[in-house]
Amino acid sequence: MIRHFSTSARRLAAKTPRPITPFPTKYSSPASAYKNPYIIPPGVHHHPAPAAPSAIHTPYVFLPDSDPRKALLAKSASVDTTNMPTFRKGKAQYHITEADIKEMRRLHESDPEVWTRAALMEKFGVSGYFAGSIVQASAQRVKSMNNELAKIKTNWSQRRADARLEREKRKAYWYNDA
Amino acid sequence: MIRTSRLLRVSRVAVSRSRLITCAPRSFTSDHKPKTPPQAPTMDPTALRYPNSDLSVNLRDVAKGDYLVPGDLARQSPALKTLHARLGLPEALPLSTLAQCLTCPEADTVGEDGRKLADNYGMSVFGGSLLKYHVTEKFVVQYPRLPLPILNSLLDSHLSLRSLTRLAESWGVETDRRSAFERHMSNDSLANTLGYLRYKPVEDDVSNASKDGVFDSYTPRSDVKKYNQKQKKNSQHNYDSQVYVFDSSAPEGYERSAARFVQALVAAIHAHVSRDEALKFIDNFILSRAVDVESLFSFNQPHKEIVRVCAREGLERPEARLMAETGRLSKAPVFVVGVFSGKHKLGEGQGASLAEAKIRASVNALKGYYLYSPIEQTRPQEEGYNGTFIDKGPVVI
Repeated sequence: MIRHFSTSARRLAAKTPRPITPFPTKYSSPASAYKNPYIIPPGVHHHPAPAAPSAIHTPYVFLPDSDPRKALLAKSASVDTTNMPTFRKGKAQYHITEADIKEMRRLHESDPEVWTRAALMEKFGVSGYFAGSIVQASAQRVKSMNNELAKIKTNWSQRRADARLEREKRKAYWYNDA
Repeated sequence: MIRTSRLLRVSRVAVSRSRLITCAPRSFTSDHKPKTPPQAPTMDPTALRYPNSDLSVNLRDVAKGDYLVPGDLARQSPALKTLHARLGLPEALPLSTLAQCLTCPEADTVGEDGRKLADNYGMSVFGGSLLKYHVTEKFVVQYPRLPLPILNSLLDSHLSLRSLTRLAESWGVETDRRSAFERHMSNDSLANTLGYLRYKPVEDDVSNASKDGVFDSYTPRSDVKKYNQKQKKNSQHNYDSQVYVFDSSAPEGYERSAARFVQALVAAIHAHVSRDEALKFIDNFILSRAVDVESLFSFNQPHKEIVRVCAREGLERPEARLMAETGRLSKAPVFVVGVFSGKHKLGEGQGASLAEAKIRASVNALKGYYLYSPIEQTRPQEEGYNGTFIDKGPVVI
């Protein structure tokens, strides 16, 4: 019988006590007989499963002051976010004046085809949400755009139409996190 | 061995041939799919609707009976005895009262002497109120921040006529839909029908039975269907809730009658034993059923709502931050996004796009807020009650 490296490595591993990194679970002793059992230091251990956090565990800041968990979590609650990029492009500028808003409305009314929301976003340096709250497309324009969209959709293949529908369905699940 | 394999081969050929002959090439259509894309369910706290699970409807025209089932007659009924034993009902609850619980107002129970049996109408109204009170109290204490539409949905999943009917069915409550005449023709004594739920079947019950060949108690009646459609059109939120509101002039039918029995039973325990025992019964049979509260939630503008929640609670404005990602340029990327208020994490979500992960994280944070459950959950009727947590109410977006 030829002894391979794997065999000797396993024997070495069996001799070496392993530190407790994963939480010790019930394991079948005949099947894992060659493994050394985990060394469990005395005391209480908390090894939560590496899973997405559950909404049942109320975040620290949402606990009312009367709750005893608030004091217990106070030390461990804060997270270092320095290495986590934010979704924001920058700080809120608050640079739009009343005159700007009037100008945005005037431009949009003068030619809604040219001064669309995207165009206004670029000219005034605002977000789409903000631009949309200042100017709204007229009902007539919404109707014509919808008609155009319907025309485009008639050119879709069945496959594409199905894929879009499936995407919509999946998206509906985002909103209840299911 | 050889034989079987040969047989198999032959049969396979036969199958493939028959397929070739009979089946036309299948056209790949999407006719079976819904034409309109599903909308993200919206939550509108202003659309407040209390689940109509009470049975206090107008039954004024129904003749009331006053004939109570004699105790010795009730003791002759095996069905009644087994039902009593199966539910582990207290000894103090007599079989004759159990028989009254099973008698619905519209049932034809006129006996040989022309007297009608006393029905469960009053008991079911009282029991229904007790049920509603106790279950509401439990959830208000357990989840003090639940928005009202969600709370209503939750109550509904426990107390709607449909769930009570299913409960009665799981108890093995059998039915007797015969009229007095039919009973007389089959030469059945009153004692034989005592252990059964006696009610008047509605037209739909009968037509369903004739159509499908089986008596399907779960098919909603036509008036319920119509009502549900109307509700769906009108309501701002479309939880898949089983709210049942009936036309009060319509006859009651199976679903309502079975629910009426469960409610009447609660009242019977209250009357014969004690209030505590009735509440214990509700705890054991109604509140013991698990409902996934988390799945009832759905938000229209989750990020906006979490921003409002934080503003109301005096917290820093929440911000979405990318916590981890993998395979950004691949076919199956995964992003993990957290919503943070300052240094504190409110929620976490993951998805195949940044937008998805952010929305899921906001939804997770909102659920974390609304599903707050205090450690101390003593209910007002319990000993050692020392007030409960009362929330400020939902935010307005």
